[in-house]
Amino acid sequence: MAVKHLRIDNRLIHGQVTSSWVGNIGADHIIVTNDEVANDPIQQTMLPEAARGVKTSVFSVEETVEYMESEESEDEVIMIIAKFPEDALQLLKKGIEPAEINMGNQAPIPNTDPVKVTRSIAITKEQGEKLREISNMGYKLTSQMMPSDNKKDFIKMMEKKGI
Amino acid sequence: MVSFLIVSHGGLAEGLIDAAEMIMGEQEGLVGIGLQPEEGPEQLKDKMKKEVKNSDEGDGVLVLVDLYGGTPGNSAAYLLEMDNKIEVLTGINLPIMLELLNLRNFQSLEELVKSAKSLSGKGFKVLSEVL
Repeated sequence: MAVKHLRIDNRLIHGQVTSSWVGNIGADHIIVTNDEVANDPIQQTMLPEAARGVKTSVFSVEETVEYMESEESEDEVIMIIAKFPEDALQLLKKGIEPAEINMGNQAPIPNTDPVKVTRSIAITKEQGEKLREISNMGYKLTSQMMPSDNKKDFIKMMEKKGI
Repeated sequence: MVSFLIVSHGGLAEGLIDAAEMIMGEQEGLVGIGLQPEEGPEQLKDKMKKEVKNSDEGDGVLVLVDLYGGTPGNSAAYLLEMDNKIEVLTGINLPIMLELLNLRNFQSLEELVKSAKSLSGKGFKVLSEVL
């Protein structure tokens, strides 16, 4: 199971990802993981288009795990983009072992009450709990907007905001 | 008249409108939305839908998006599910926008889309090859 980079980002595939991260990671396959997105025909069409030529899959959590167990995944350098912290946690619990986990964008979801941790990351207390669970599994959860930025400890950042 | 909705990353939408109005004077039915760093697809989608409903005078709305494959373009795909007459064009730039603003005085939404297709790329020149 070779997931080079797991990014938690509810903007999914967008400019920052395609212009900077994919090249920096050397990823040749992007997997977007979220059950709802995987069932959305518009996202199934638009996200591979957004990836500008890099192989792209839009999978549910279950499909992602299945794919990572397949032979096809063995020779690939894979970047997973989980839409929400809960998607990332599910993947880890089901045995995915990424080399690194980074917080990308978490734009506030309408009708929720999130706390703003940075200009582009707003999470609810419940999501904070999921992230703490990820950290307790032994992963260092970083906050790094662009590959050229310093890696910061996201758990410390959210704790400073009372999450 | 077809209404225009410009959608971009950051301040480009407002900037394009500002530049277009500097050249052509104040325009009616021309609104911009810029995705901000703290916003996501859901907010953008809601804003765009609201703006489409507000601005549609019955002749439809032409949505002009900065970048194919970016969050604005991705979110704009959902506008096509609305009951309003809508087309979304991506890769907008000032020359195409100016032409379309002129053409919308006598062209329908369908005709504007055809015009935009034939205009794309025409505003790009290498000046050393022209002179």
